[in-house]
Amino acid sequence: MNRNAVQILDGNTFIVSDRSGDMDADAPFPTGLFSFDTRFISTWALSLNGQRLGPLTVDDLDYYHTRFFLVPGSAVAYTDSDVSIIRERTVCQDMKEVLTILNHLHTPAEFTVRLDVGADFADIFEMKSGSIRKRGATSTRVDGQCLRLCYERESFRREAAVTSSIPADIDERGMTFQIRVGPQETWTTLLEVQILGFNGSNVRESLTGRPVRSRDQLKRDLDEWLARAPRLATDNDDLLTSYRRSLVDLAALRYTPLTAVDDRSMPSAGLPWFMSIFGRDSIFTSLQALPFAPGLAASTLNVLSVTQGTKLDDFRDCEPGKILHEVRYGESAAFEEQPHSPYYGSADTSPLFVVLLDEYERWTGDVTLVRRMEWPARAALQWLREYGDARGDGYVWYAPRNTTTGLENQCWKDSWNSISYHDGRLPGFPRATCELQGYSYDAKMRGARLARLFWNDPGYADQLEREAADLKQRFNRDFWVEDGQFYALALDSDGGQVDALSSNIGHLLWSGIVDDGRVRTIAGHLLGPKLFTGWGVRTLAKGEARYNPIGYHIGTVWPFDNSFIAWGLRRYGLKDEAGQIAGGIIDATRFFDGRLPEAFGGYERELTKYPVEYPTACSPQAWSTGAIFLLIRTMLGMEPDGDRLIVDPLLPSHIGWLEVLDVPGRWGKADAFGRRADFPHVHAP
Amino acid sequence: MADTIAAFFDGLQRGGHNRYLEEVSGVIRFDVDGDDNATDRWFLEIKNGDVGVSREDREPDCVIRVDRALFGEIVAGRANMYAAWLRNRVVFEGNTRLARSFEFALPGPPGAHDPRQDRGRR
Repeated sequence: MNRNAVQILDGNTFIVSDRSGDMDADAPFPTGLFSFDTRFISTWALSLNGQRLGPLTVDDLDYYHTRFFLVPGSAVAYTDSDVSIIRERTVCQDMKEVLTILNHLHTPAEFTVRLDVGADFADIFEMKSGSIRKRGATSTRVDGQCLRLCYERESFRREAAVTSSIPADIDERGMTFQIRVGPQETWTTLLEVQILGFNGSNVRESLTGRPVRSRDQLKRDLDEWLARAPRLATDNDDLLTSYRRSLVDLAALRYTPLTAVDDRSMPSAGLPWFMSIFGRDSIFTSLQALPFAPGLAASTLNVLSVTQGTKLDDFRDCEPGKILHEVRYGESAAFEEQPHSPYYGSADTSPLFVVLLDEYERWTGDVTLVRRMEWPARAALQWLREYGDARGDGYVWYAPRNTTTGLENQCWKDSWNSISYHDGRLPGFPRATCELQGYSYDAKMRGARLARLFWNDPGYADQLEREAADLKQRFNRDFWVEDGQFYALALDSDGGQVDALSSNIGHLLWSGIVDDGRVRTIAGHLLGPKLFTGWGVRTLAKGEARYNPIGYHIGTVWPFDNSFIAWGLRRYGLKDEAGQIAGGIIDATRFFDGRLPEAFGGYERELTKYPVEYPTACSPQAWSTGAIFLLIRTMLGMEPDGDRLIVDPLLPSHIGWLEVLDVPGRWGKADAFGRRADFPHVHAP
Repeated sequence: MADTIAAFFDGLQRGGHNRYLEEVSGVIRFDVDGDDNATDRWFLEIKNGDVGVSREDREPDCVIRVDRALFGEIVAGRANMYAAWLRNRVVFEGNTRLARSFEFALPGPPGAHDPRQDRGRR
């Protein structure tokens, strides 16, 4: 997101404004009040005596709460003002804004306060495509002291109801207050926007029949979340800042899906485009956060099992056993103009579901959940053998059956041009990317462990292990590019190698599918000049025809990807290499105030000296937020071993010591501590 | 249409156990509204995957309200219940999770392509 954007959020309701607190459809970045994938307010602009306001400061108080200090005109040309304005804004399903005008004169002052209000009810997909063409009817109505902005298309209905605690002159384009403020006195009103669905009730309530959370509950919940989290201390300020920031961001991104058990929440993917359930993002984030917030994994597994595919559906790319890709609640999903009801176009979510289930048990010992998830996990493993294996050769393949609104690439690099040959050509379908085979291998190995220990089915365990061993052997034969000495990005529809050098070879490592003898060669590529920028590993190597340092999946550096690469290197014992990547990403946090964006440019660190932000990157984004947690786990070598937490630290050169206290797990609470041998001062905690 | 719906519930009753519903327990009441202002009621009781259908009144954990024509399309796999819910053509009251679980009992669109059929085809 643009650095000038100010955002607050509560689950899938969020507000993005400029630094004056205004929202305007013409702003250089998307602004507005959004909920359930619909923009309920697109214009919200304040003026005083006909003059727009400029910011002095913006206080981010909580993730759902912010305060703007403003003066008339531009703060750039600021001279002492006789009046100042405070907007204090909260989002808690609905939006509340306390507007205060302060008269600094010793005499009374009169003002015309004007708030322009408008709503375009854009669907998030219309905004992404840049073309907002509503098929339904938008209407505006002054209803006593309430301004009602309404959108109706057949039985689909969304409404924003705007009120003020101090009576206003309300017209169809906003409200005006003619006020007189006494000497050195203040004037205040409370502006509220209610987000309504059917029957005049809140959207969430109208869909679920359950009341929404209050702001006090939100505050209590955040306090408890932070109190429960392990405490981190270190001599590296970047890491400390980023850890604290990430804990709050992860709390903010938690979202209670309409199908959650006991209202428990799971991570949504990222602001502003992905404030919804994404199978892949929720699984990766839950995995990254396991040592710090294991509850996320339990709710992710629960919710994804409730929506597991049971039937063939071409429009939704759905097959039995498949774990979903994306769920939406907006108009485009409702009228099936987009397939997110839910959409299942991911070839990796099903194996990753099993991986998360196993890793969750290893940390928490929650056998009950593992037993309850036996059938969904078996169905996901069965999907790998049947529908996922389009060529019948034991690999996982994907090909969209929905070729108009479905995704071409059903792996984490899901943009259209992400999977290419060295010379830039795009392969035909189906495609089998290399990391998918790693996930499949890992899911089979972990599924075998679960079958043996908890499902009382050693025969099934043996079978899965045989399949995994066979897969590993054939993978190391079929995907290995002899000329380049790395794994192909994918196999094409003829079984030929898609021979681009990419970060996927690093992302493979954490699955364990890589032959031991090849790990050093792979690490050499990852930390070599074609892939490593100094901050992290590029998605696509320099020298590939489609390489572009600011191409979404073809040259940028993704913190999430790097956290898994570092973890994978560590798994194979390459501690120094893992530390080098962890160190680069942690250094990058400094340039983003501790909040890692979705992606940043693949330019050399030496060239730019700072990480170049990817223009439309989401921030906060769940799996970027989660990257810090996985990097901490990796640097400290935290690994569950039965009922003990093993710690085997190796810190990068610029981190002297690092400790994490009260790590929850099957051991109760445990501490993890690491110190560099060459660190001059012994820390006494 | 009413016959399609009755046949669907009969099929559920005969199907007995649904493994996808093993984590689910509760009673769903279907209020199926006809053009004639008459409402047909069906009760689906799920007990850890065991599915039973009844017309006898009992306390529901969740109510699904839908008009007869649309419900006929839904139980035939020609209309999607989730999308219809977002359009307010299907209304859930009570336990939403239970209502969503009912999707496990619904058939997919007729004539959908099975990717396994592509094996060996170049």
